[in-house]
Amino acid sequence: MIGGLSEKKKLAKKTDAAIEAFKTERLRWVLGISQVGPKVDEQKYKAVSSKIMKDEIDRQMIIGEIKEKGPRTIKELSEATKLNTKEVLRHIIALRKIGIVSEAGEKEGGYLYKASE
Amino acid sequence: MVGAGVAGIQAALRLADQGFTVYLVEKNPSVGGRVAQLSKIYPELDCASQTWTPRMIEVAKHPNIKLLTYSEVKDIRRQGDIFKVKILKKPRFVDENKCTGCGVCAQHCPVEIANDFDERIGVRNAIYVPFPNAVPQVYTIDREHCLKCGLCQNVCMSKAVDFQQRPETIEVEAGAIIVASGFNPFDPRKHDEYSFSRYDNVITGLTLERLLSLSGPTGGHVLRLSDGKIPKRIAFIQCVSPGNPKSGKIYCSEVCCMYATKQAELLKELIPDADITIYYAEPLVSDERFEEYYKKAKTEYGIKCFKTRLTEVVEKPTHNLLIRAVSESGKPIEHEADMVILSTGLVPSASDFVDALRLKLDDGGFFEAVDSDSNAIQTSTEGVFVAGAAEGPKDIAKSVKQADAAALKASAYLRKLGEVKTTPTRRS
Repeated sequence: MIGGLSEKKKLAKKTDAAIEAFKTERLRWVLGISQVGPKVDEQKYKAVSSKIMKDEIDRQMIIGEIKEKGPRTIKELSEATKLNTKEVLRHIIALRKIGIVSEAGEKEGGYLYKASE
Repeated sequence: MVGAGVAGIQAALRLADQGFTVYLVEKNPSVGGRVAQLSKIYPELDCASQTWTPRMIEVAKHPNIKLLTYSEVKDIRRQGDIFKVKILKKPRFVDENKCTGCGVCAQHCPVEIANDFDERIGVRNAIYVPFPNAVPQVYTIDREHCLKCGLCQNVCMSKAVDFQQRPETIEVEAGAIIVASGFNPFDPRKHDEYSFSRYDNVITGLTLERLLSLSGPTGGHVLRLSDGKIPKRIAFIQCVSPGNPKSGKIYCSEVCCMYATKQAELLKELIPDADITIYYAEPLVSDERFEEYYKKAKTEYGIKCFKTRLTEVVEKPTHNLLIRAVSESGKPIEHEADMVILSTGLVPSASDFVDALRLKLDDGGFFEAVDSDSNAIQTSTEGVFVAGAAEGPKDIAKSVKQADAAALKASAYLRKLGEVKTTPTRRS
């Protein structure tokens, strides 16, 4: 029963992340592009848009985790999101660049990341 | 002037100040060359960006310098005393005269790819400037990755995005040529016994520079690319250079010993409890400028230096790395490290005009100098000079000195040709 509950909780988290992801401008733009017109490179668009969708949902899971629990390390974020550490680091570097997350000290041999004000 | 790295910038400013008109041609979207990628410059540990950004801006503003970025010299032909230079201006798909560098386009671009400038650790959009202090502050669209969605075009207030731009060939006449095309870091995949291509935690010296840089992708936080851990045991492997490392290199890259020592010190300041070892096979470069520097690294910073013959680097399931080597006395050594840095050497950057100008190259592929004095800036063709790492591996200080000398010789040569109109300017 307990296992089932935590599975449900994880699914809820992922759904929340997906909802948040679809609220982001980046994803809305990408989904909107397909209606923009003949200029768009159709093949490239298909490949890129699915990658962007996955990235945005993963990033919302990371942001959600940090917002809920406070500063987190790459390792902790990896455990919470089930994404591997390398992927989490890639997302952190991208989120850091646009000012969404920043470093907040160290913990157990890794940097902590917080949501930027 | 071919190339706008440290040597190109230095020589261009020198000649332009004397009143010569200088066409400064740079193949990348920004001037700055390799120095723009660096964190701090040895031996004084000056911030690379603080030192060089003002000079990068100066070349862009100088009334006597015609700056052609994102352009390549395709051909140079001699006609009597003058050179006819063919320059290909690659399309940025952004109007240089209209773009204000505000960056709203990049904020809207949905495409995200690895940024080569950050040695692919950082990310950039399909419309981009390679780094925040790029000069000129003009965006470029990377058509290979662009979706042609037009969002950038819609949001650009200056209407600078222009998908119709075509490559443009510009022909200019020059009295003298200075080649300052610089170097590329040696690609360690070329002999992969240190497993650079397989393991995330085996990185090059240049990648470490991006990690150490305060404006880099991690904001100066050094971490392992496999898992984000802060490395505590760090090993440097020297002489990762062209040629077979077991039978000896073709040439010494001169800078690796010093940059590794500098990086070891910077790492020690960043991670005080780090255990840092430098493995070298050949004696460290003896340069009287740096004797004290090496001494300090060992005594003050506790950096260990071992002369060994390396055999291999293998990864453990923890992503830690096992370095296997043979000591001087023939004893096998095994050392576990969290991160391995390959001190890669310098290789020449390719040029399209070598054959047309009948320029001689040395064994390493660098431009050969034929001076009778010790300057090493006169190439095998009259009127063509070389400066910086294009002539052979050298550090920033030496490149700048050589660029000064090249500007001096070029200026003397041009004055001898006569009938050059100069308008000297004084810079503020």
